[in-house]
Amino acid sequence: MTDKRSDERRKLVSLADALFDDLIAASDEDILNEVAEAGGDATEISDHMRAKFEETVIQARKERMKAAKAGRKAVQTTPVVADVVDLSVARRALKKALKHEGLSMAARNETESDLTDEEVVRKYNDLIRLGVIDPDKDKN
Amino acid sequence: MKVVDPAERLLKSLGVTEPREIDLEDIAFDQGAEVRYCNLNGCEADILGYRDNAIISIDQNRGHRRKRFSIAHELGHWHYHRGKKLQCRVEEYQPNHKQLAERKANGYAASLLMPHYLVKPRARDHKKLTFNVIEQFSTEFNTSLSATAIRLVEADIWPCMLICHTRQGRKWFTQAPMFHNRWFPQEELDSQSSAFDAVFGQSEGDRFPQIIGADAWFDRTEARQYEVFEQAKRTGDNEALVLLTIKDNRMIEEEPERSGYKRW
Repeated sequence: MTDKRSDERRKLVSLADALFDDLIAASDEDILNEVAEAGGDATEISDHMRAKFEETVIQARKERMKAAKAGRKAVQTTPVVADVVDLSVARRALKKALKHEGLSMAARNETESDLTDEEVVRKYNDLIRLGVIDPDKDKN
Repeated sequence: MKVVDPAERLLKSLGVTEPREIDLEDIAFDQGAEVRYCNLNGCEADILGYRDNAIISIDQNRGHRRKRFSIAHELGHWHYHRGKKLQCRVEEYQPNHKQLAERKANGYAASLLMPHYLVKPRARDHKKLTFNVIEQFSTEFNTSLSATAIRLVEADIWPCMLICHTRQGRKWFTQAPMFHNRWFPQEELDSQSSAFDAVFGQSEGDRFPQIIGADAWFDRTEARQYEVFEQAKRTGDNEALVLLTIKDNRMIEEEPERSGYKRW
């Protein structure tokens, strides 16, 4: 029974392959003529296929947004514990880090001397998370 | 070659087809940036980034729409100014910010919050631009009234101009590109304008556009022959937005003397 089904399936696949080969080998004109002979409207079919294709593309793109949402939620569930730091250590480390090549920053103040203690702690911890500051190295 | 707007390209690549899908925290995450709300001193937002990751801090004490604008603005810096250190202060969105970097970040924010590909098809359903229409868009796109008004005026669908006035005079203005640039609004408010009461009095503005002589707004001899639609809206203490829409199409045509018409 199973062998018979497999055999039928193989034949169907072969037929589909043959039809596909024919389609690829046919010229645009031949295809349009065949569609017309079968009573179809080539423009309508192509519009329908284009719409289907666009819908598939949009759905695939939406998956990227869904992945971003899922990723963000996963990160949110991991609480970030800010280290209690010695302010003078943090200020010193921050002063050095803010000169770091490749650091992106758009902020009200460009230098650590203009920052409040709260801002120093926040940025110090952020720079640790971003991998700019190595806290173990800065403590020594 | 058509320049593709980077913010709109990003939205399209994320499959955004409706305004409600513009979730800025998810978009930020996709771009490697984490958004965090906290108390900030003296600024609304800042961004710190290194390599492909960034942390955007937003002042938690601001209104929801201001927070959205701030995230979009910082994402603009992340797109355009990666690896740079900028002194920046997120301010109320205004056209033509003095600093180029801020202007670019503001432009990116405007495109991200109100992409033309979602705004224009909806805007074309409205025959005229009024504050009622602006409020509908502001609700749908979750954006501030002034940012929405600027975006809609600059969409170049209606021949209109938007002016912000305070008691100190004109603060800023912007216009649809089709509004001929020979029309430059006056510095001071004319007492005939309903905006005068919104800025100096208690009026909340006009429910509907009113007709006023164009010379109340433009210091050009030619202005005396035209009327314009004016609608004022109080937007804060001693501040109002004014929407001017032309009534006579000759105002958006070439200057009469330049096109060879006899000057009236």
